[in-house]
Amino acid sequence: MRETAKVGKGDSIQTAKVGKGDSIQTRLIGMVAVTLAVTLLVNLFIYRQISSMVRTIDSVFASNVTISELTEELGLLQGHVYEYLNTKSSEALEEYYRSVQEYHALIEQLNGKRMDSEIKLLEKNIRNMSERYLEIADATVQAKRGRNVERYKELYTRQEDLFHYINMHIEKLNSLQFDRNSRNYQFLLSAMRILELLSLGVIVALYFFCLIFIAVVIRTMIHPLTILSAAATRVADGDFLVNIPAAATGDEIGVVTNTFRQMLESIRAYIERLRTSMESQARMKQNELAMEANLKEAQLKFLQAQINPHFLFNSLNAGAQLAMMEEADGTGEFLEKMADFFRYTIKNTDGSSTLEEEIASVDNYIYILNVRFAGDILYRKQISGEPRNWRMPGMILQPIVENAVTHGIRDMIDRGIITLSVEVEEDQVRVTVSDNGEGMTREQIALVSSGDYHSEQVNGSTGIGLANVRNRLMLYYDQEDLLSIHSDGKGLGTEVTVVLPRVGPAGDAGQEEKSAVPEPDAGQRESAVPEPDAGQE
Amino acid sequence: MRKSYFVAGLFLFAAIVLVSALWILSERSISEIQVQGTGLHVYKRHYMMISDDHSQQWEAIFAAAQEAARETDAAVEWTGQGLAASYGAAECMEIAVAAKPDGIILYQRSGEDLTELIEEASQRQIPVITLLNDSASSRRISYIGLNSYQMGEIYGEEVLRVLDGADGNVLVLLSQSGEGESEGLLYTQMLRRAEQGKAPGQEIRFSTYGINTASSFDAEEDIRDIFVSGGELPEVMICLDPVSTECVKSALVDYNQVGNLSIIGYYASESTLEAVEKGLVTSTLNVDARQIGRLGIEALNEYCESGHVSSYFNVGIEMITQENVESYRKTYGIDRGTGEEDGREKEREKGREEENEEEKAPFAQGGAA
Repeated sequence: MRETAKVGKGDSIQTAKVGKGDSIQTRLIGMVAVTLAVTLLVNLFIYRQISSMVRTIDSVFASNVTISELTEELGLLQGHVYEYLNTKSSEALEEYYRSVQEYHALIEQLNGKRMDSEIKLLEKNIRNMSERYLEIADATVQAKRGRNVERYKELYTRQEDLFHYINMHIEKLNSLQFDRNSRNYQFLLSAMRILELLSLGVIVALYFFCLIFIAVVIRTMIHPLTILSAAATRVADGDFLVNIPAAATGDEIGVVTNTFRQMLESIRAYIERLRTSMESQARMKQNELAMEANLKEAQLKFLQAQINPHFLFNSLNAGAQLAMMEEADGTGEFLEKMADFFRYTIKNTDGSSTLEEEIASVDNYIYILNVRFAGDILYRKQISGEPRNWRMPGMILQPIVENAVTHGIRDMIDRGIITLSVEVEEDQVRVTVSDNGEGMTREQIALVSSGDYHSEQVNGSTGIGLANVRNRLMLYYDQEDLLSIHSDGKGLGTEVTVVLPRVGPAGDAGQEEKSAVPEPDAGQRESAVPEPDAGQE
Repeated sequence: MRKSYFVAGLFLFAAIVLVSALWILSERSISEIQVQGTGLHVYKRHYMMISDDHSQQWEAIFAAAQEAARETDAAVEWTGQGLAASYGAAECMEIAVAAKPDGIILYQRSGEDLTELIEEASQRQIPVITLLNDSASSRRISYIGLNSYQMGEIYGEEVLRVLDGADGNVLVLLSQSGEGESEGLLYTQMLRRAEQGKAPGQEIRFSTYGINTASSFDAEEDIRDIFVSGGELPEVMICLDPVSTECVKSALVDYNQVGNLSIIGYYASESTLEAVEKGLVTSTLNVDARQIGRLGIEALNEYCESGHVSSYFNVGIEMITQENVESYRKTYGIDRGTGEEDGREKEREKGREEENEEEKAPFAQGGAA
């Protein structure tokens, strides 16, 4: 699998890589921050409303304070002028000047502009009248100081009139303001009520907003976790096929979900691999057993055919030595080849051999046959490439050749020809055994190829049939169709081709020995096995 | 899941709408509270109008002045209004002089002399315009008034029309203090016109009756005296001011003399117009109050801007009779019975009429017998 997490014994578990903006922590903090911010905004809003209301109330009622001060100060001023005119005391004069200053400061606060409001215009009038009043009062005081009795009396009368007018106007201003304020009071009252409602509405709306917002956020966060826990429960129950949708979020839960998905995939893949490997092991085991059985069968058949081969082999050797001593070279050679042939068959019990040994075994077999049948068989051998160290199952070629002799050329009137052709290619060796015998029909070939055909045992043969050869090839190479039979028809001979693929490292192992042995000439060669008596054609 | 989101969204939307509505309501309710000096328009000029006559005519004049002032970015105040004490023109003038507006429009009753105060105003650089009664010797900048000569002509013609060739006594109600030149001129011209225009052999006897118009309630008493004195009533009675017109009209009804004498009134108040329509009052001389108000403001504006203004403005007058009262209403856009005051007056009049009818019936029968 690709990236299965491998946490060693000493490794500490790192924090899952989560996008900064996506982590649950950030989202929770964000959620709380948004909620708090909205709450703060709402509070500020309410605060603003209330403070604007307070300012309004303040500006409405602040004006009345000025008016009462104005009346009071004007009265004092008038009193001081009267007192001064009455007594001419310096205290009264001092008081008068102080009063003038204060009254002046007060009227400074009154409007002096031509504003579009009855109250404001009235203020302007009072202000101007007051200024005129102060001028006249000043003139009165000056006249008194100058002892201009007639003048100050006249001026005082005018001042008194003006005092009266101003008071009347202040009264009017007061009543106008009172009127306005009483009207305003009603508005204020209703405004306060509406403000109350507004605040209540805003707070309730805020509460529900926060509730919904938090619910949505938490739900979004928890939803993948719910899916994951359901999936985990199913996995715990052994259902590895559960399908978990990929997490859309990149937070910790998303990471856990995706990791869980990966883990599940890994487990599934691992189980699959385990299953495949177990299957292949079982198949291999089966193959091995079958091969062993086939080999055993071949050996058994061979042993049945050759009773006590060791004894025979030793006897043949003794015979060969005797022939040497008696200088019967032909007999000696025959016996030697016989011994070689049997030695090979006996030695080759582990099922594995080399192509060279196989070819030698065929050579010996043909030689023996030719001695037996007085050189009836013409044996041709064509080898291209180097077959020496090519590993292959033993006892493959000899049964094929034997088959060609037995079924192909035995009953021929003409001289039978057996051709063994070996082509060593890069990845495989193609071995062809052809004869000029009676050939096979298409049906016969099909029958033999299917493996159902079992010929009757022929006396004197090794008894290993083509079916056995085919099976062993299949088991050895784990590949079918390595043996093919071809015939153009009755009387036109048969050609059996065996393909021996290179067997991985086992094949190579043989190659290593290659350099140790002197390489014979590459190229096609044709050799005839020396025949005892029959001459070369 | 989706449904619950939808419901939540809907709820939030409703909450936002509700809160917004409340907010707008709250803002509006706060803005209804009048706070001093915020966002008020500042006028270019501030004028004061002085008149201790609070009749409909003066209300109309003030309304016209206000309208004209607003059009020319000025404010005009009726001095002395709304105060706890009631002041005459002289006191109001003192107040106005002290308050130092940009201009004063002054109405002084005939016989009053406010020359000194006009002088003081002029010293304080306050231009003064006199209305209807002039103070020619003062330093007022302009006079807006009626042409007494023209008025006499119109009254004389109306007397001829009313008498229609018959002999008759004509009683002219003059203000007691009104031996002033304008009334005298008017009276003389009226006599001259009647003399010139009378039919051969027709005898028209003019007499005057002095009523006290200077103080508030004397006029009414003086007029009632004419009716209760037991003397022979004249064929025609001429009123030269709005108050006496109203008084004569109600006295006529109260003393059951409707139809017995013709009344030529002064000023077209709503009640007088109705009386003309009903034939209670034969005709009334209308002074264009609107023009007076407008002219006052315009003259002050002109003076403030250029430093000088024409010293006399003539105000249009016309005689309103039963024939032309409808067209007069149309021209000036005066609907019947508009205004609260007019409505009340109408009710009052209706009450009087009902009373009269009860009284009138036996009298008519008696007359026939």
